[in-house]
Amino acid sequence: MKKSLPLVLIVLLFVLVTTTTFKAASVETVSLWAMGVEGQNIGKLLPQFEAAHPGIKVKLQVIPWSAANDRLLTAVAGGTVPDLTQMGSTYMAQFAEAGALEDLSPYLAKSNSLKLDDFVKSCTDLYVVNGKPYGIPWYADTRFIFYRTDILAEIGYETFPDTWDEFIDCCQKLCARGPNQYAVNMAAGNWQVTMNFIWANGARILDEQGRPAVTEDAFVDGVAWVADIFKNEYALLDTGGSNIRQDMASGRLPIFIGGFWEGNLLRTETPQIDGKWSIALMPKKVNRSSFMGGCGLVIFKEARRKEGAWKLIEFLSQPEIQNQWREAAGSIPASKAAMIMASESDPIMKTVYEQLNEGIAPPVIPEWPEIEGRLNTRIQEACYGVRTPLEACQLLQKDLEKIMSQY
Amino acid sequence: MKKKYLTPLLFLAPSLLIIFCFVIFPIFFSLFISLTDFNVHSLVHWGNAKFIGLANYQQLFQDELFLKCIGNTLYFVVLMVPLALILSLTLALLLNLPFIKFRKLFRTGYFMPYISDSIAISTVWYWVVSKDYGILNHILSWFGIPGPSWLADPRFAMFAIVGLVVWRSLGYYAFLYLAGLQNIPEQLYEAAEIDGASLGQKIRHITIPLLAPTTLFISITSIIGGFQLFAEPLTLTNGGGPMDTTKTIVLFIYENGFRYFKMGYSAASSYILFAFIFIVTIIQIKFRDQEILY
Repeated sequence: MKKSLPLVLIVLLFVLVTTTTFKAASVETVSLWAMGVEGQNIGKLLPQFEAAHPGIKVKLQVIPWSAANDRLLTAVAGGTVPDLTQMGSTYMAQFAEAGALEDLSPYLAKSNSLKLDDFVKSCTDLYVVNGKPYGIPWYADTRFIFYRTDILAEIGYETFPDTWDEFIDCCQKLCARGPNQYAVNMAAGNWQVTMNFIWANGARILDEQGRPAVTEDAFVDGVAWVADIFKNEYALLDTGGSNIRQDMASGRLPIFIGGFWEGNLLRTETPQIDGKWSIALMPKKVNRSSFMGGCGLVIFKEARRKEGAWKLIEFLSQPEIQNQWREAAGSIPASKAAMIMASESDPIMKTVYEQLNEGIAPPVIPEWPEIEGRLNTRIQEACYGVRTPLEACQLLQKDLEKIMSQY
Repeated sequence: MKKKYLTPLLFLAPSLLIIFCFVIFPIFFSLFISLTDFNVHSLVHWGNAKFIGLANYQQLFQDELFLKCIGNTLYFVVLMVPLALILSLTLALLLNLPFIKFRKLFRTGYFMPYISDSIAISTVWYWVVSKDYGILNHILSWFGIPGPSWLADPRFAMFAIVGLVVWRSLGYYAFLYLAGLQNIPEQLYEAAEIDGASLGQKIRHITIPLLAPTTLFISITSIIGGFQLFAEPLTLTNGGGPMDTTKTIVLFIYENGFRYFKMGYSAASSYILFAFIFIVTIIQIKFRDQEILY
């Protein structure tokens, strides 16, 4: 008995392993990577999907944003990619250029439920590289003005300033309220905010041929505008490490520019100002641009279960599911139909939809991360007053030309 | 002869295999990559990388940002190392005083920052140096000094990082110095006492020279560590600082490799860092060989 026990155990193990793998073969397991807030909430939608598609199970892996780029990079370089993943819009160009992503045009052509037209155009543009769609927009993100309705009403603004001149006037009045009272909370080193003002002046980073165009008047003037905001102390170069929402609640910095998720954070962290804040469109100069971002869903070229992955994408793109997602994760749906449905019930979503339509997507090119870094540095130099706006732009032009000449 | 080595080799084999795969091979492979233009196009199709010889290195020496990073890193090392040596020696001398109560408590307390996670400590430090809400500026205000904006002012951002690193290492270096201090024979101090030496003279002529091996060890390790500064500026100043004043060489390597996918360029910059550290270490070792101890 003693001698045959190990043999029996081994046979049992063998039988167990073969039967479980055999069972697994009839059920497809699609592996999905999701990050941040989305990763934490997508689990709520997956049972619905699995119920609608009995042969498919979804295996979710949640990855923190801080590690996302590295994880994706190592997976691609090492060939250990999942079937599909959530991918930030600013990562798209590099991964598509590397040849890691599946071209989704054949899937779109065959699909009965999903068309690129279903989505806001500036969103779909983010996932098109070299003319081919490599990703389907999942949710959109852009930057909005969040402001204290009561404080602005006190200084005479019942609605948020509509034009640049009104905005500057409003800032002056806000700063005149007293010592340690400022107007707008924005970071000089964050292009996702500073570029809004520069784009709003009708400027562009690259011209039609893809060459850097940052010494054009519209761009230089835009940089000068932003630098002035800091020079006049409407915004602070250093907010002292304080919390953007606490400053909003205390009234020290009653305007800030942030992503849509800030609304949820305001509701949870500063409930004392519920009903006293709202969202507005960026003030208009030539247009009301706001940086367009968000995340899409991509299928890897080396994925093994592409059909199953595509079905999950179709599911997540349905307008009702997009709205459910909005409620679960607090994000902005990329689907036009979902946005229209949401605008009908919620005035804030109506503003969101208007801003989305004025969104500007940064150029979807692999050089973008380097360009981002240079933009941040040079715009900062102008804001700190270390260089004049013109000097900063000329140096930026040289930086960008060097970057663009690489590939 | 051969049979004698077979058994030990077999025992060592697993370790050696791991070290070869994960340390030795990557080191030489990255040297090879630094001679190619491995970038985003080569990520999936490795064959796309072309051999370009020393072109990456030439480009690096003309890269304004890279030169700035070298400058930042050197500035950091020049500020950090002397400060760390002087302060930790002072701390060790204080802790060595015979009449200190709760000595163990102090030693543990000072050692704690060193063993804490670097990212966690940096996050706490971020709040300590906050301009309006931080403890540091609050304490400075007691002396009537208006605290600057440590992390947003290009003149002071590096000081905040030096402060953090020195504070963290104080415990460890003081501990090393304490051990060194125990090794100094009491008779030397007694003899000096008889000759009428003051405390200052005792420290200058007995303590410091006899601590020379410890000082050399601390300065080599802190210089090597200083050149590789990465986690603290990444957490405190988001990988760049006001106008890149806190961007270090390792941050440059990381950014180019993992954000811009320019692996060839990044590998070349890491070899330049290697050359720096190598040269500095050789100089210090030569220095040690010339030291006359007694």
